Amino acid sequence: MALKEPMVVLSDVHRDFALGDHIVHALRGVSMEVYEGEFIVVLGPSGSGKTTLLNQIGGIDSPTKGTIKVKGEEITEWGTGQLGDYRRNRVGWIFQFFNLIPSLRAWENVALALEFKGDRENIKSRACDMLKAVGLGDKTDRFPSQLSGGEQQRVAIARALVKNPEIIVADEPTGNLDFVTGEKIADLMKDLNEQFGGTYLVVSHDINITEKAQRVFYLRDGQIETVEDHSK
Amino acid sequence: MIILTVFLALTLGLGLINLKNSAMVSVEATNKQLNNADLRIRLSGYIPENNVSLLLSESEKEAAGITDLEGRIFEYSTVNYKDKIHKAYLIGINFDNARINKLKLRVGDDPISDDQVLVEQHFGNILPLGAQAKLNDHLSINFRNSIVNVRIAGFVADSEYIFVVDEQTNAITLGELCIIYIPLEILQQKFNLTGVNEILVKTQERSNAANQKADQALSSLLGENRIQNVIYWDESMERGWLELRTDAMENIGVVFGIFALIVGSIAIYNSLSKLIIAQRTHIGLYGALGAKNRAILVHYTSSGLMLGIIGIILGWIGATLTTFVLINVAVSVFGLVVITVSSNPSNFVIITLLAIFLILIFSILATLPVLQITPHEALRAPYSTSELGREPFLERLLSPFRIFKGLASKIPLRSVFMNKRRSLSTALVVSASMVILVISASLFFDYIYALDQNYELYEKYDAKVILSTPTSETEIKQWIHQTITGITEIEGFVYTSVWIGNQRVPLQAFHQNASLRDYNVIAGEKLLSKYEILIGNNLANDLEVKPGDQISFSFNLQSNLTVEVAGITGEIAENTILWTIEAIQQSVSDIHHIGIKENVTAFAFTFSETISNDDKNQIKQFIQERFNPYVYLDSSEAKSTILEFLNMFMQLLVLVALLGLATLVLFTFSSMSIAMMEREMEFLALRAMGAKHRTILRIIFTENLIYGFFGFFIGVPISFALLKPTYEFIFPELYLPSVIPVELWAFVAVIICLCVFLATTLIAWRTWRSSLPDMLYNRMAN
Repeated sequence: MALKEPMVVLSDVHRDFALGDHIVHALRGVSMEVYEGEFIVVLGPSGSGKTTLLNQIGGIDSPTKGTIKVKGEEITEWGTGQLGDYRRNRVGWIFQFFNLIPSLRAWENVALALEFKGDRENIKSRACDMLKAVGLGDKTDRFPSQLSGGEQQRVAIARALVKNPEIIVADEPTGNLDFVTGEKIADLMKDLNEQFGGTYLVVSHDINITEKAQRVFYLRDGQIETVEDHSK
Repeated sequence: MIILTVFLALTLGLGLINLKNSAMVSVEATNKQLNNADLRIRLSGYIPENNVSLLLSESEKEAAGITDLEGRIFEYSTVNYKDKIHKAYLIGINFDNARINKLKLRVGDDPISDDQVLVEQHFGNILPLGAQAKLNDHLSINFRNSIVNVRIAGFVADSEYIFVVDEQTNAITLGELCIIYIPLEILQQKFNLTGVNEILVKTQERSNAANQKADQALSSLLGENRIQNVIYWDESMERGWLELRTDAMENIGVVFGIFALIVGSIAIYNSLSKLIIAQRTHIGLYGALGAKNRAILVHYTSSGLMLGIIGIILGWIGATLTTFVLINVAVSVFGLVVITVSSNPSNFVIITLLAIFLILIFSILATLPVLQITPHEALRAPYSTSELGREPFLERLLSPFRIFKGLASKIPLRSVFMNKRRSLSTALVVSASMVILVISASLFFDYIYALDQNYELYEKYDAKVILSTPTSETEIKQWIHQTITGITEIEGFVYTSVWIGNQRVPLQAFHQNASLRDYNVIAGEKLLSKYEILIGNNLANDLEVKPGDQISFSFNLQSNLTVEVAGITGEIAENTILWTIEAIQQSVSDIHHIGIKENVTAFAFTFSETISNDDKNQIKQFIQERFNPYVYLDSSEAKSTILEFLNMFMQLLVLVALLGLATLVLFTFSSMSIAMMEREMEFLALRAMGAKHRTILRIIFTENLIYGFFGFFIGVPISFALLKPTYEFIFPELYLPSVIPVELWAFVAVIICLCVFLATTLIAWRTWRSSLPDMLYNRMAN
């Protein structure tokens, strides 16, 4: 039996930031492999480099040193244009503060991801279907300000998933929600992972999400300290 | 931004307002230093005494209220300077002992030989207009049929001739009239004269009553019939002229200062609103820590006020500098000896209080939303949670177009309507800045337009000649037809003056069916008959008459004629009564003695289209030799002289227009930038989603374009509505057609598009160049 190929491979990834006269070493030689369809959670104390790690994999930032390969392609060699294509077509981002466009309705926020991808066929019905899948079938015409925090995050999840990305990157997706709503979002993400597939990388302190992860990476001072494998 | 805004408003407004006071104080100071006569008594002949001070004893002087007397020679003549004939005054004074007619040497030296003279500064190249004569240049004085060549030793200032008013025509002839000062004895020798023909008088009190008292004392001493005329040193006409111009400048300052303050106040509102939005989480935090809303409101309002007060203080300095520059430019044509920057304290206080009031009101308005920010909401929501009911009209209007079909295209259209207050304030800044530019530029163009209209439509002749003696029109026409080629049409007219009460006003009378003169009637009707006249707008205002009113005037102060004012004209000749030769001849029984029963006192003509400048000069020479006219005025030269004379005012208008342009660019650009900067997080989210650069650029550009579009279309009716009242406020005594040139709208639209482009470029550049992970992290951390 052939061994399963990892989808994302990080090799000795470093990321330094200049902070005044000091250099902050946010990542110090992180190496990890993520397999297709996995639901991975990254844990760690504040300032440990979780968001920085996510930004590298999600194509928002590039490492100072080291390589990142996605399906065999080395994204660390790409310029801003190619990284834009990568985010547009292959990555779905979910932010802590939802970052919905306030002037667009729920379905339009979701459909915008399709429009950016250039995939305009049945754009409205597909956006509405995805909102239905996240439990907002009756609120597709609402503006973000007319939705609760949990509902806004559902729209953000629908927006990330509607374009069928290979990787879904979520930075504290329940960090701005109450416990009950956070639990619902965590369940939803796990369900969607099982229903639609896709590889999830989630930064979270939320126990609801951590419990659902297949593997949990513990980060401390920019390095992976331990890896917990819940799938075994 | 707030400091800059207030600084610019005060610099412009207060700077212009101070100009009037500064000009008047400078004129006063110059007069005081040069100490001119209160009364000039022109004698019909020469009296032998050089020292006229001895004509009256000290006690007689005291009884007549006279403090000093000085004799001088004053003669009208002409000079030839560089082959051009100029009217000239020959003035003979005792340079060393002059107590009344003091001169201030500006350039050069006192004459040291008999062939050297001093010339009044306006004729020289030390001031901007006119003949631009240089030191040591030669002049040929033509006086009593003898020609004397002299050299210019120096240029002098004489406070009597600050405005250089031609005493025969009352026209201001800066730089064209050559006033020559020659030592009294040399002048007497050169032209074989004895004594003096003019007495300068200083009175104790500088008033008309004091002048009349002195006049009576000297008249009884010299005998009425020895006095040709008495000229009271009446500064009121020159002062009136200067006041009219400086009033206009002051009014421009008031109008544009208030506009600039309003624009600035809206800009302050925008800046503070942006600050409130940027510090939303901080405000939430203050609330969470227990700060009262009122304390937070006071904190932000006082921040705006403090910054505004810094702007006011800097504005005072800017205004002083502006006045200094403007007063030097504005009065440069007059050659004042003393130039002072002076501010009217009440203007200063009013403008400052108005600025503080506006800053306070707009600061409070901008910070009021603080009261609605709850700690819970502010600490959670990253940006505005405005709502939109339904798609805005503009979106529905544009949705059929392919370019507006995409979802990204809807973002700018909806953002404008979702943040109505922000959008309105941004559009209003564009409008108000635009109004400043449109009105200031229109003022400039309308001045030129009024002149063009005057010479193209109303005074259709190419040249006019004012004769020194009335002449038969038939004789003039015959002589011209026989002697001169190149003249196509000739019409005689009467140019004289009449008395209305004690006021002497010019009268022009063309033929009933004149083809070279038409009238721009702005009120009433164009009726010219035995019983009806037209009257210039300015004179009508002075006399407080309107169409339908009756006025009485006389040619000789004895028999009054009463006619009806048929209409008011708005032309360059605004101080004139317009009638017809036929009406004069039918109405006036005693005009024989002034020679206009069968004769005319002036004629106008047109040149053939192919005539050269050399031929024109030759025609002028022929006419001058034949008729020895008071005035030979080429319309094109007159127009350029007026333009040149108005140059200082034009410079001011250009300056105001440039400031209007700067206001438009600065405030439009900054307001657009501020309106977009608060949405930086939205653009970053789009970037994180992989939006292409051009998509974000298009969103920003479209939104700015909408602000510009609305600003422009709000500004158009405001400009139209304000133009006429602004003109009437700035020039209450001057008729200006209020026309906004079409090209100006195009220019304004281009400037607004440029601002849109600049603001878009700046925001897009900021959004694109900023580090996405850093910005996302920082904004979230906030």
